[in-house]
Amino acid sequence: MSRNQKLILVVSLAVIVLVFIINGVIDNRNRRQFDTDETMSEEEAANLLAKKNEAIEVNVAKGKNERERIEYYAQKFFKSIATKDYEDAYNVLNGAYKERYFPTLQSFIDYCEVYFPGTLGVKYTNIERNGTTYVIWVTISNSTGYSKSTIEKQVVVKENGLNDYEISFSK
Amino acid sequence: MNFTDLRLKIQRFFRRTRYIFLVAIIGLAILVTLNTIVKYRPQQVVPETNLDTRASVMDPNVKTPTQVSSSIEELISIYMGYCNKNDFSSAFDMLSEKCQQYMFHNDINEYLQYMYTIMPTPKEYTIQNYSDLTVNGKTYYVYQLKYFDNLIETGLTNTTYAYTTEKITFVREGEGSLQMNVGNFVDFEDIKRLTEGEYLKIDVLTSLVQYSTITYEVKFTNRTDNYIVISDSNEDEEITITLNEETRHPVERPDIILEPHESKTVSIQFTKFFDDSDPVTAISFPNIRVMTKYSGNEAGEEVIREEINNAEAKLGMSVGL
Repeated sequence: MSRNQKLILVVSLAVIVLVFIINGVIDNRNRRQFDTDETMSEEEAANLLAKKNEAIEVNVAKGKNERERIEYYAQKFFKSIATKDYEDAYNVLNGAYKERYFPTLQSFIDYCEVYFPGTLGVKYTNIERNGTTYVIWVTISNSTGYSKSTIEKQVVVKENGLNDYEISFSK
Repeated sequence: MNFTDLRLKIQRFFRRTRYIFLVAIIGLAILVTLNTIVKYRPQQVVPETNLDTRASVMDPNVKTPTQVSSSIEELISIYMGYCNKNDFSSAFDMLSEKCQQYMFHNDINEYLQYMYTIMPTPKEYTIQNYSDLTVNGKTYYVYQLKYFDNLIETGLTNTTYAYTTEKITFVREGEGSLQMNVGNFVDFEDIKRLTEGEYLKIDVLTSLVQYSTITYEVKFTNRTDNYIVISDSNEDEEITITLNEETRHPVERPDIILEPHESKTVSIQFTKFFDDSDPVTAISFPNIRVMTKYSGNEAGEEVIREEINNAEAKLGMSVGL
């Protein structure tokens, strides 16, 4: 084998090895993008977990059709209220709506404890689209102890992107 | 073939193809790397919806061409911008001359009155293509404009879900620019079709086409010394239009009674959807009465019947459109 041929063989092998290394690094980095390690601070780990949950939520939303997706957003909102994760529910309220009707988180909590006190059952009766804003008519049943009551509400959902939405409802 | 021969053959083959081999390896490497990068590239996640503003409601297979729909969306955006800033004068200026003249009689106050009914306060809006069709060399893009309040900011608190709609039409004649019409106005045409006989001349002068109606302006000329009754609601069929598949009566039947040698111009409106693909072929007046005496509807049923029975002539006339 001449010197020239040897050089070509070495270069070719080097290129192949390099490609495997680059692909391995990219693959690994993407597979482990949500993995935590001991060197991370608590905040970094929490951020990473939030990112991972967001990616999962986006995937769930992606798998649904338009109506299912909008109802799913509303369902998540009422689930947060039912499980008393009021801050999560408050965070998805539209800014101007919040300013007008619930200027503080506490005002929202106070409202929810009066109007949605127990186990919530949400039934969607109708939906209308206006561009990227949807109006959903819902019947919410509240069960507390032996009593059960139902109220009708209209929920407005504005979808800015997948799992990126704002909510308001008839107070 | 022994091992040495095989080795020599491989060596010779490698020597001959070494550059091709090198290029192939490097090319393959680039492809594999690009594939990996593309695979993990963050993708823009856009929600899937059934919303397609370009697809016609009347026929989803028909879509406004992208370039035209972009121009239409831009025009509507500018128009709504003016309306939401209460700059109705600029909004009015955007309308076609025909729309200004025949829909609003060149009177901005008439336009303001109309706008007050459709959007009394600033509104958000959506658009949807309703139909695209070409008639007599003109292409009409009919869009529905839906006006509604900012729903997300109120959550419909202390209010009910409500919206208003109107059809707006964009018309292009040949290579001309898009002409914008609002208020369900589609077009206005000088028709100038006539029919005449011994007793009566009928001129169909114009047609005002709105999305769901068509209004004809018709001039009747009495050529006799008698009364001519074209319509007074005393016969079942007095005014009709003929379409390919049916006959229609006016929305409101006007009284058309001509004194001797009188000419009268009357507007007659019919329900007719612009994009129903069923053109009007004629307007007919099947129960015209030429009467020496006409006492009017106040005279009572008996007198009316007697006068009809004693009519000088009874005829039907039709104008092809």
